[in-house]
Amino acid sequence: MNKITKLFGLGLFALGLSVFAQAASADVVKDIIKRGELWVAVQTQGPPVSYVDTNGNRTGFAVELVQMMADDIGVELKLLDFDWKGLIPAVVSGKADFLAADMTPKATRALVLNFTRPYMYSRNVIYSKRSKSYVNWQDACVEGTSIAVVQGSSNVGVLKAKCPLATIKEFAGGGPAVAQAVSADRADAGINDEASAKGYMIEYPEFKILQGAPDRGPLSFATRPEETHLLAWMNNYIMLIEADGRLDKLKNYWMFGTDWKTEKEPVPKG
Amino acid sequence: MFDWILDFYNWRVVGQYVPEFTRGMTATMWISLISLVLSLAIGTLTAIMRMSANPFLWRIAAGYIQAIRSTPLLIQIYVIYFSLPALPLLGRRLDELEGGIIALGLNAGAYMSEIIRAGIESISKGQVEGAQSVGMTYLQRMRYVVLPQAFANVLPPLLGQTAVLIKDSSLVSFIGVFELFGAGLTVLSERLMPNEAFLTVAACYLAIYGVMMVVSDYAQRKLGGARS
Repeated sequence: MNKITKLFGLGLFALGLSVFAQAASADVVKDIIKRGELWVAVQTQGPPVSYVDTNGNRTGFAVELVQMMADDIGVELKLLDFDWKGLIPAVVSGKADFLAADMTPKATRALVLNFTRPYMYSRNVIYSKRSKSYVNWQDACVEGTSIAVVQGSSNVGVLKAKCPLATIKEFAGGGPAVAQAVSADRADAGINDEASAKGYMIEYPEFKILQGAPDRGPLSFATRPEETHLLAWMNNYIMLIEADGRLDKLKNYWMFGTDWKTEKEPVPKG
Repeated sequence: MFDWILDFYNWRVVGQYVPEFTRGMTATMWISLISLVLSLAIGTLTAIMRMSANPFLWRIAAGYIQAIRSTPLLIQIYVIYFSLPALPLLGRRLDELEGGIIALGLNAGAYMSEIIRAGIESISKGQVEGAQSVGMTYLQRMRYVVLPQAFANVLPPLLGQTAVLIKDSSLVSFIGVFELFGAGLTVLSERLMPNEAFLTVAACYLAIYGVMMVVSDYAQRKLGGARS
């Protein structure tokens, strides 16, 4: 009898586990409503998309956009800070519902994650010190020059395709490390998305952005492949804020303008 | 079961990145090896200086050890790469690889020196006095009597420190040196597959460690006779 009770107990436990596992993976939108929290993975160091401002608050384009999302559906926002390398594992493992970063949905990447419709298209530009004679981005792509790039970023591929003659120097540590390398004369030029590059122009007055752009690409948020409801909801949300002008307002302030660099307050809420 | 493994770790994708992983692994092995030789030379010299009766010498050694041990390796790499001006002997600034190797060598050298010092101190005074009595000079005593036994005595902690050095070498990617970790990042960035990226990197580090164990076994057998 005792044995049967134990077996029965074990069976119940296993059943409970499987039900729990199913409940957690069925539809994350239901989970978000149930827990009253939206879990979003953002990048630790990625101005103007996500960064900590001088007052110590996490802010930036993606942070303000997801805050708006959470406010509109009446849930709390829980931000999870990760280095670029940690963003994908955080989403795949279910620690975050989705990632809000400036990620390009490349063909191979979209095999692993479900990307939203692009919230914007961004140019990747090349910048150098003003003292260099370069005018167009092609001028920095000749033999004997070196271009700094964020290690492992999609811009490495851009440089290999568009600047095959230049020496590519990959720096771990994100965009700021690339800017630092150009400033310390460790590379002749650097490549980054236009919004970040504009930010560096203020931080480093000795910099200039070279004319033209070797690349232009879509930027999206992403979630797990099975989260089709959440993806549809995010796409719907992007469509809505596109229509009512709030997306443009955010983009103009964070991605196309540089006021965020100099203004401490206020941050537009869309 | 097979499907589950492929889901967890897709070796077909990893296979496409074999050239990157090979290049990264070779770089990591070379960087580690050169840094190791440099750190052993620095460590031995510093250990001898640290034990010297000359206050000028031991203070320099103690200051260097304290400075290295109390600051993060990444900062040391940044300072050597970004802040050092052109060196008078070289006539130019250190490039990424030179800066990285020197930073790693200097860092590991401080830890190695303390281990080697413990090894030297483990040799009994009688042996040194014995060597003196047969007319050996200071350098001869160190070369033939003290150092071989000292190294044999502290081989296990030296190996531990070498393993740390190999793992720390991934930090040179912060100044643009492509090594094993960089290869993993390429896979992560292009394919968004963390398991395939990081487990492969971990396996490569394990393989390097395995090679090191074989070499150290050989060294231990060679030096085994010298152990006191």
